[in-house]
Amino acid sequence: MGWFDCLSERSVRNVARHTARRSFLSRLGVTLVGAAAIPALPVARAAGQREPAPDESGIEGDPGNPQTCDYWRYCSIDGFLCACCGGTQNSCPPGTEPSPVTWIGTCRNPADGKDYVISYNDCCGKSGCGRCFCNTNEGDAPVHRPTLDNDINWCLGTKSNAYHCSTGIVIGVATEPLR
Amino acid sequence: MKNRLGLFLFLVCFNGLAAAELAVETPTTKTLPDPSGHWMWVSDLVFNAMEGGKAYLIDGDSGQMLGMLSTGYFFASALQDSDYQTIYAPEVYMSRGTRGERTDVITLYDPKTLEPIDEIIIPPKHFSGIPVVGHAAISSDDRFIAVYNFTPAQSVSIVDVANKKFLHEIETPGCAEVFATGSSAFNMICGDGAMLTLQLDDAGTVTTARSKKFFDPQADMIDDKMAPYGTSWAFFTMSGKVQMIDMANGTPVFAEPWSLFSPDQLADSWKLGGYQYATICESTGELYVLVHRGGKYTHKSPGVDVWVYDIKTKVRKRMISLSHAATSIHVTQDENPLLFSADAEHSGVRIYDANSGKHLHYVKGLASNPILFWPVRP
Repeated sequence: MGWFDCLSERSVRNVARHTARRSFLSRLGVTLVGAAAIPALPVARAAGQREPAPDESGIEGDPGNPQTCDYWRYCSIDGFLCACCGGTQNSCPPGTEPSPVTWIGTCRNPADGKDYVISYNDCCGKSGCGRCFCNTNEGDAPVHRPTLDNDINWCLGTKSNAYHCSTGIVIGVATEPLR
Repeated sequence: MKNRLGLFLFLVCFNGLAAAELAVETPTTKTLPDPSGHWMWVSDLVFNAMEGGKAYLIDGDSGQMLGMLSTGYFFASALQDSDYQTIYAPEVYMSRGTRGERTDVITLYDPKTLEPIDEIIIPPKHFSGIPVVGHAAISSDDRFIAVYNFTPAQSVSIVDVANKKFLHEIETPGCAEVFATGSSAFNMICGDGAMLTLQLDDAGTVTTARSKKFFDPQADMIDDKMAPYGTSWAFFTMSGKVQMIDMANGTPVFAEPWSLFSPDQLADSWKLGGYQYATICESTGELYVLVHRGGKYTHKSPGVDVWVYDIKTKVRKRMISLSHAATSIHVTQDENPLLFSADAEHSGVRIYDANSGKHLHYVKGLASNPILFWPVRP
């Protein structure tokens, strides 16, 4: 599927699913979120010993296929899914480096109904992966609101600025109700 | 007799072949003729391999590709001086393609040969992302170029065009993009709703001033898709309001906002959408916007409908139905303008008569991801 096709399809499909998140994010005051600051997901500890299949998160309470744009964490993603490129929803493919700065979104986990703040860390150092392009745009803001802008190349502070793919990392539960 | 017939046939064939034989050739390189206002550049993001950025030059009258620039990593668009004597392309390179030392340059190209003729090294901080028109700007007197930086610290690199020299970097926390205004000034948009003016003196020294807030980022955000018109720029909010800002004297003067959409049209979910959804023809004063029916967060969705407004009366004059959905549009600047569109579903660019909406040309296979147009202004 062409990236523009995916763009329009995903954009339309996600419109009615969520409520406004921008105000919450502003109040949250989160600016730049580093991968190093990612806390362990409570549900992550429940992960089993079995190596997860590429089309599953491998985390209990984290439903969906990380190789598709429909996966709940990708509600505001824009780029190639690392899960299709040799990585997973929360790890970079071999030979690439996660960006320490990124943009964030807020997505609702259908398993527990909670809203999670998601950090879309890019993986950097190689040419574009080219697989599984998604562009969902929930809460996406223009260039002058950079922390909410998914069109920026976030391969910054890395050895190379070359963009390869994007992850969706859980960094916490949104504690305020969404408007 | 038999021998004579054979000789006759031999001579006929031989002479015939000799007449059809092509002249021996040597390879040459074409140069471009005098530029036309119907020429349009389009940048190719090459999303699968962005280190290979490109810009294509198209003749809208013939629908032919005229030439190309190779423009490095995450290329957005180039600038031109006021009489199209030099093209200035802000480019990013890494010494090993996708790794190694990063070098940012403004490459100077000859518009006739499309050859690089010089370069100006600038700090390796130029904004990279899905191209926006405000990534760089040249002052109307051709003296200075401003390049928007994002590392993610926000700043602007000031370049002395005449002396082909980087001058200095101005920190602009909270403010993004640059727009040429007046003779030696640039304006930026700040995330809190204000505008930042960078006023340059003869030496390129910058003094800054901050405007009042002209939009509420919580209520109706100004988008990063803008269109120039004379000494003004048209800005657009996410709900489809037009904010004209006159920058003739450097300091922004804000006009009263007006809406592209009536309450009924808003209720019917009409929205702006795409990567370059607005363009204004200088000669006719017509604003062209790419619209679609969609919900919240469809602000990058392609559309097939182009609505044309009189920028002065703010009245919609006509509607154009594109033959194929587009993500970006741009109109030429003359009395009989052409409308270029980036085909959303196929590689290529389409060209329409901007008055009648008639489809004229499909420049097939041009660009992997045509995303930002900029017109040749002879």
